[in-house]
Amino acid sequence: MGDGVMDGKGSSIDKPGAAVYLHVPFCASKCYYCDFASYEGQNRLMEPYTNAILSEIASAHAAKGATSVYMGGGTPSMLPADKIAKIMSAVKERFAPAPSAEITIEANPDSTSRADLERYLQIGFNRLSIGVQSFEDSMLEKLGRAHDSKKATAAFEAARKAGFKNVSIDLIYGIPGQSVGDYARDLEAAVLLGPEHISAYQLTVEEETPLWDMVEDGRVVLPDDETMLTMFETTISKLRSAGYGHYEVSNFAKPGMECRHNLAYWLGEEFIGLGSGAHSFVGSSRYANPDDIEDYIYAIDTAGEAGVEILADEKDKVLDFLLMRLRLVDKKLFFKELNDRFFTPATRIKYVGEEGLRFSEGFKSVYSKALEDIAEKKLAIIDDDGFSLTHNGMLFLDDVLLDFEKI
Amino acid sequence: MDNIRNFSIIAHIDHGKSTLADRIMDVTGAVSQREKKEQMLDQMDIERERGITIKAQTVRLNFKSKNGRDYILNLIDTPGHVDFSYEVSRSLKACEGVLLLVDASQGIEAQTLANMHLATEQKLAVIPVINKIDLPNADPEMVRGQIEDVLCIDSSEAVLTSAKSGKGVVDVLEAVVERIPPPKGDKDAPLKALVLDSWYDTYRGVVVLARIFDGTMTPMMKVLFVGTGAEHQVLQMGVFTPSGREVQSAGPGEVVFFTASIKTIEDTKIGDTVTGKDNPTKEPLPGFKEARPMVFCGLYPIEGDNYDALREALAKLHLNDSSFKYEPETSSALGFGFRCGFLGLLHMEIIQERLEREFNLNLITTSPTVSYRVVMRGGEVRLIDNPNDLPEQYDFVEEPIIRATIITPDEYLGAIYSLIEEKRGVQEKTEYISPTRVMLVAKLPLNEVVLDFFDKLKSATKGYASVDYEEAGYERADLVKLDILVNEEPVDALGFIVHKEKSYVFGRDIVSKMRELIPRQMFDVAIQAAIGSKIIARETVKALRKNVTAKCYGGDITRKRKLLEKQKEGKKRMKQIGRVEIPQTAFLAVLKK
Repeated sequence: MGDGVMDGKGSSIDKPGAAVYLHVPFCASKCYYCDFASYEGQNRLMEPYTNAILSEIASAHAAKGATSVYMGGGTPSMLPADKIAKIMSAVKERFAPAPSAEITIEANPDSTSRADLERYLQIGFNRLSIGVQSFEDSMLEKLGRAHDSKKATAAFEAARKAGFKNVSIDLIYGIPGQSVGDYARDLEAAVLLGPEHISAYQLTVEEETPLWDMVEDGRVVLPDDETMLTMFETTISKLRSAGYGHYEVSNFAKPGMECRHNLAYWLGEEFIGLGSGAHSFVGSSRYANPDDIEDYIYAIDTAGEAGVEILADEKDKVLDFLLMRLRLVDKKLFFKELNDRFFTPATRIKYVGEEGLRFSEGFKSVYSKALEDIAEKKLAIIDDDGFSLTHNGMLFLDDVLLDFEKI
Repeated sequence: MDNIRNFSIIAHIDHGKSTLADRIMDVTGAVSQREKKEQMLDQMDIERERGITIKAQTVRLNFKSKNGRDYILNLIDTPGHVDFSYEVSRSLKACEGVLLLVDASQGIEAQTLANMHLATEQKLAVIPVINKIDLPNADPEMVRGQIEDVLCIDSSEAVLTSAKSGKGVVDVLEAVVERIPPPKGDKDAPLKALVLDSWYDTYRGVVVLARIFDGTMTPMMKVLFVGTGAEHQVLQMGVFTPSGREVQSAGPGEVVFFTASIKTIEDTKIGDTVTGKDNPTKEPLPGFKEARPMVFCGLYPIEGDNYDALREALAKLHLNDSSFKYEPETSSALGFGFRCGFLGLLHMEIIQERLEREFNLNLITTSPTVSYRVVMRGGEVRLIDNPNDLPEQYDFVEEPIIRATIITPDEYLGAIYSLIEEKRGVQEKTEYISPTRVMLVAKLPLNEVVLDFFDKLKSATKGYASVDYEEAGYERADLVKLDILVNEEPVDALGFIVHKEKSYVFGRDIVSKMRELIPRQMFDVAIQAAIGSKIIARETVKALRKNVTAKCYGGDITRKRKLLEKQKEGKKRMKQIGRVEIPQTAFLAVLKK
């Protein structure tokens, strides 16, 4: 977004294009831990869904020259390749991604054939993200994943053979019953394959998932905090020594191979989400499409659009920005950027805090208490022109954000 | 005056007092079917829900006896729980007789005895009424036997009723008319009336309920409250039938309410004598003993900015119930609040519940304590009701003792003996009141009773034992002050006075509870129990290792916001002790014990 003019959802022509996200909500089976907008047994909706997303693309307001395109899910590879092709050609027409744009598709090891992968390359994808999660079958079983470890390795090798030069692997740690040693082997296996990018997420137990119930009634036991921390630290040290930079809490990349698309989220740049459950950030407003596939199709069919603005006051907007931006590791945040975004004379904010109205003099003074607190707790290093989180600050990022919550 | 009867119903809790009152109102036509709700006299929601009577209510009824004469019956309802004997005796002052209600299946219980003693102290006529006679396990003959043996009353005149079905209720009223003497008094003498109750009404100011002994009261009359010296002019007068009905004059034997533009409840002390300003009585009534709080605790608003609201709520409730005391108190852990004194544990719970319910306040209550006598080296005696006030140097401490009367099926005797021993009690008397029921008298330290004696007695006897207690002076005891420290800082809300022998278990218990409830923080949190400088128990809440959301799903910030919102809400309910954040649930769990 940078110096771009913020003028609502229909943005101006002269600014650079946004990051484009396409959601494919279909899955062969739902994993135990997943609470994302994805559904199994809904394949009959693929046709109307494709039509809906095509119509949403056609009517989307956005600058040409998209910086990235990301087709995620769900399981995009569930969608027949011809439908993917149709969607992508509409995307190209509408958003005209730059030649250098990163164009990613997510794939699950069990629904990805060599032929599919070659087709994806033809369609224009130049980056593949494979949901490996673990190289150990017993762990995959615990997650309710449909594939086994052989398929994961095979999918990676197929991607290389098909010609993908930019491949990312997703790993999950903190699986019930997983030891630090088990996980270290996953990391080694991933490194051995040599992807350009690795995402390693700690398993999060979300409410209303089968995993939540299993943990609640004691059928499975998660590794303790100490183990979780060791796993996290092991991720950092093993991947760093294998040449992967730690650039976001859970993301690692070979130099220059950081995920351009996800960086847009973290840096607070504009993005346009298309499809059910997709979110957009345009101008300074956020919008959400309905999670439910049929609700989404209905909205597009009847209203031509599905986005509902997520209301946020100025204080929320600052926090929303921080909660994404501070996920980036070792990346100093300059007060100037914050002031340009939130404290220009035009956007001079009235804060309704405990003391009533408050006119801002800039980030540093409005958030002085939070800055002091995080500095005192050694969660951040603050100097005249900005601040960056310490290693502890990253480990306790949620506490940092809570400090910024109370201004 | 000859046709007036003033009476109360006294009974053990759940023996059917409020139901009988309802039935009496039915029979006398005081309440139309449409207005009828269960337990008419129990006006407060909380009374109806708990099925107990807290505030005594009075109702005036018309009754035509089979002897052909019309009577005015003033039924003065009384609370049944042990905490409220003060209100019982207050109600009894206005009566010439009582109905002593006994459950036909349960027989005499501890409060039956206690209430009976209150009535005979005041030389009131006692009519035994055996209730619930149509229950399958009713045994009126057994109850008759108990009435003879334990209460020493001629049981041949006991009236049998089922208040539930209405059977025998008219017989009860006939007995009231026949056996309770009419009030005495001289309507031409100077006004002499007893303040039975007073409460604050937003529109009318203080409303006073009074029983007239001599003289006549009329609207516009100038009255003097003898004890407080306050002078007011009577505006409205009325009686409860049970809804308020205005009257233009009231004479001896009548129970009336009146308003007089009274702004402050302090003017209308319960037990005070109201007399005519221009023609005052020369012999004011003796009045009541001031109720003495037995149980104390701190009350704090959960949200600090509700302090003023709490203060107002306490003042308002106090208008209604002058038997609890309160004064401002500050705690570093809990902020600004009040130190309150209550007649007993139930009284404390009820005040707390009324504050929360009627005034929409969320409160933290500190652990209930009792009032200790601290004898200083020089011989000076200090009364302290807050553990933190215990001086560092003193000669010895005395604790309040109660004498408890427990009536129980004999199969639980063993369990009760060991409970009494556990609670440092001394057994004084054990007596069979029927072949399987035993009355047991024991002396117990009040602080043990306040802690959890009733709960334990209930579980030891599956709820079949009843208990009542009276004060029995002070006794010297080996007591110590126990502090809870969080990262070396004492938590003032968690100061306790406990018996030395029990201090270790007590401290260890609290410390391990706290450990469960204090969330892990960015550093280790040490929780210690200490007596003076000696640490007797210690637990550590290990530091949290990280707190960072693993994944942000695409551009969806709403999940993350919700998560933060949740954490923020959690933090709001935290109290800060030094750097440590302690959730209120931790205080509550420890303080509730």
